[in-house]
Amino acid sequence: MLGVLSFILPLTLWSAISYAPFLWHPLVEITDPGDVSYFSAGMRAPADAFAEEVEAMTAAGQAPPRGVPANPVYLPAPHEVAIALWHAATPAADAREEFRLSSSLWHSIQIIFWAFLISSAVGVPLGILCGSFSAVGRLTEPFIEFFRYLPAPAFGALAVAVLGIYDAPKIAIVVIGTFFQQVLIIATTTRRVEYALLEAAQTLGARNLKLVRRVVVPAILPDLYNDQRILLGWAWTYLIVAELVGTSSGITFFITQQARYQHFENVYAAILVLGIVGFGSDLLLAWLGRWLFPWKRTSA
Amino acid sequence: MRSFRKFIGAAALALAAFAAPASSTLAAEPLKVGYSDWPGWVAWQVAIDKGWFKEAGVDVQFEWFDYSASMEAFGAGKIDAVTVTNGDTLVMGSSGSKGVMVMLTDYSNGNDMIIGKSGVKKLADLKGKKIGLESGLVEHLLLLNGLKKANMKDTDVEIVNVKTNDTPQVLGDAAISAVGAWQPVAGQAMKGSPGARPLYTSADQPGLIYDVVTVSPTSFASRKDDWAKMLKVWDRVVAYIDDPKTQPDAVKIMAARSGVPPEEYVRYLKGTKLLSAVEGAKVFKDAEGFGSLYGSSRYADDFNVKAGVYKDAQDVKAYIDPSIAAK
Amino acid sequence: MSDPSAIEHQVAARLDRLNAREAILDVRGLVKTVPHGTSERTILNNVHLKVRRREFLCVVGPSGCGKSTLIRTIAGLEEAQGGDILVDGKPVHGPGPDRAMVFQGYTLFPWLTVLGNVMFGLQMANKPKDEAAREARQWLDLVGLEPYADAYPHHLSGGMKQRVAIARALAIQPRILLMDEPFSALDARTRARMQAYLIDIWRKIDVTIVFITHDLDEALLLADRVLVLKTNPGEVVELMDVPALPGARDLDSPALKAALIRLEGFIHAQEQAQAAEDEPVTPIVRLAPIKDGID
Ligand SMILES: Nc1ncnc2c1ncn2[C@@H]1O[C@H](COP(=O)(O)OP(=O)(O)OP(=O)(O)O)[C@@H](O)[C@H]1O
Ligand SMILES: [Mg+2]
Repeated sequence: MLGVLSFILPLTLWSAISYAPFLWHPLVEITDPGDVSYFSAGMRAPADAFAEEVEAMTAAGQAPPRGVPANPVYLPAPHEVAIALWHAATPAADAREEFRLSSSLWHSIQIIFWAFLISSAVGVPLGILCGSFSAVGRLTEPFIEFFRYLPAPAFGALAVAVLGIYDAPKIAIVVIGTFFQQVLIIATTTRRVEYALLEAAQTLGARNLKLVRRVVVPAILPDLYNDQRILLGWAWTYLIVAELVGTSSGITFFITQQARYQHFENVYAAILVLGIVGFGSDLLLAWLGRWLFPWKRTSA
Repeated sequence: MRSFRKFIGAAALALAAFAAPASSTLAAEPLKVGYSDWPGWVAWQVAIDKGWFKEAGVDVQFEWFDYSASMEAFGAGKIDAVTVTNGDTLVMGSSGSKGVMVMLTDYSNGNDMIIGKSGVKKLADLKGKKIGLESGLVEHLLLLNGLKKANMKDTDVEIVNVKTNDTPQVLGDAAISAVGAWQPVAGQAMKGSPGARPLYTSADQPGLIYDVVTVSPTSFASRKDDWAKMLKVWDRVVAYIDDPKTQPDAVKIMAARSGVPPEEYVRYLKGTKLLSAVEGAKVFKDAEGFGSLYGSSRYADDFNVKAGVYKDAQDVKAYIDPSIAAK
Repeated sequence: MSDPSAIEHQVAARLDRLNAREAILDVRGLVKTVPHGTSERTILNNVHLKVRRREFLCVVGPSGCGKSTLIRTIAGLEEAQGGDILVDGKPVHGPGPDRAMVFQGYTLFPWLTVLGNVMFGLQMANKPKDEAAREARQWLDLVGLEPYADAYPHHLSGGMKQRVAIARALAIQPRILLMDEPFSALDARTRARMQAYLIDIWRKIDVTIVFITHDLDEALLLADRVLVLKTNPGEVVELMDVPALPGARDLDSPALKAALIRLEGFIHAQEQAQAAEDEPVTPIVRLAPIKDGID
């Protein structure tokens, strides 16, 4: 119930600011420029400048401009975004692939999927080993600690030089952004495994890798799963910089291109869809987690 | 444990389903050209969509980039050619990514501009004021050119380095008196700031900024015939866009590439002077002044050194190969 | 019931037989120290101990005297700084399946079912899965939890968890079962039941038990002999024979009452010595005296 409310409140606020002319609305959208030389229909002028011109024109006996209060173009109203969403859901048959929200998003999802898979394939085992065997941890973690502070985008040009112009360098950037964090987080989670369980297993004859495989891994699995969920969100934040390298594609290109031409309703529609996809997949993963790890009541 | 195995199994399946998105072909490599969102370059889209390259017997693959990403890809040797300004060709070359300008697409004819706030009527009014623009890029060059004509010194104004995409918001700042931007950003900046007007545009100095196709020297040496065919296709594109009968169709194609309505796109097309092969041949004659690619590039080279974009003056002649364009 | 002197006789005879058996566990001059600031602190000092086959030994001593440290060192979970630990005459290093352990806290693997937990040690010994399952079921049957084979540990009560832990430890057929206060977290009634279970199981199978407790009654109910440790450093004070036969024991019998008083004497002396050594602590919270004359 409160969960629903937490969405309704911001939506109400957004609607109020968009539709109640006395709230905010610092600009005037010109409907008729009158005799003001530099006004044109559709232009948004600051309310005080508009008022000055009205006064000046009236005083000079010329046609005053007319207009309605408006918000900056950077804040479209809910219905405009809704219409944009509708257009996104039903694209014109001749629309280019890149300007279909769905194909842009699908492209980005593929980048994330591959990057996360590659990062996890190495990062998860390495993290577990770092957490399990202090020698491995001491050998790798100092470098990883150092490297994770280097900004992933700085490797954009290098990634293009090595991996070409298509999806590979984008995937590489997301991998660089995710991997080092992943190793450290998972190593920490591994170290938190209940020591008593390890001792019990040792008295039952478990050793070394067998201990890792049969006790450490299952013991941390629910926490590991949650870590992965958080890291997946992390990977999405790197997508924004990753998609700036190489050929233009994906949701970032969609958003920047629409913003460049001031179609902010499309930008907001894309952001909304991203939010829904992110939030939805996280809910799904959380639910899946509860089903996968029934013994872990605290995993939520 | 068992459910975990199931999970892994499902992941592996999903992996297989996703497989094989990117694979490069080896046989008979097409020419790879990186292009980006500028009317003179989006124009190529007409030829791409209409299949004119095939008709001309040349295999070309155009890749769509952000402008700076396209230069990066060219620098990394991942594409054979890139559409850039003549000044930026020098910038790339100074850092080791040598390229030769082999054909022109257009010159900016008003699409680049210095925009003054309401109350600022001419460049001279900017004395001692702050101007927001991306330092070292074409708008910077345009400003210095304008200041010189207005008998002002570079030091008469203060440059505030801002991203071109941010200039509309920056112009709203009380401390800033003018910004430099290209279309469509320039249009937004004016829309958002009533009374703002262009003080100086690239139309005031035609040839200050030439847009070119810069090719890697190796590709140009080994496949000159193919590049010559490209120029033929370009001529056809210019004719198609300039002809009032076919222009609406061309604009529709270009607008779709940029993701804007056609009626909005016509405006941006106006600020660009597309150059046919005949017009281009004249520009490819070595001469002083902005009527020549050589003169314009020398001017840009001066600016680049002065603005600290790079240290040593470049040999402009080494960056221009007129062998197909000057015919 | 039976004649006290006859029982005394039987007990003596039994202990004689025990002593005639080979020592399964032989602890010789065990020293355990831990770093303490720049120097070291001795926790166990020169501990000698022989445990015979099928013996039930309880270890008691004041809190902090090193009982857990002793049993953990025997289990191989801690390293000794001096002395030897021999099992069946062979020195041991590190944990091994000849010494199984039941901990005070619940250490069942939460991701495994009850059956999976009991199978764990068997599978570590590379037993085939179906064989391990069959054996595990028998051990579960022994502790009376066969019907719960497919339940997960979090569905079990504390007493049931410890029974599973015992089955899990016994399943690997250890020479010695080490138990560190296994019943201290249970309520009194459950604890009594568990004690009976344990004695019952112990009598059925060939296993030697070293059992730590701070509850002297518990020690007298279960053990053949009781080892008393003293504090700081932990040293053996006494190894006392329990004057009763295994099985249902009557703590109110004169012999056990006398034994209890002796044990209490050792522990009490210990605690007094400890109290004298401890510096007097100034209380942080000073309670206001109630001026009603009762104090
Ligand atoms: N690793 C260690 N580092 C420092 N001190 C330790 C360590 N292990 C044990 N000790 C100390 O050794 C002493 C004995 O500890 P131990 O847990 O063996 O006592 P115990 O007899 O089991 O006590 P309790 O009855 O409270 O369980 C304690 O004072 C404890 O603080
Ligand atoms: Mg203890």
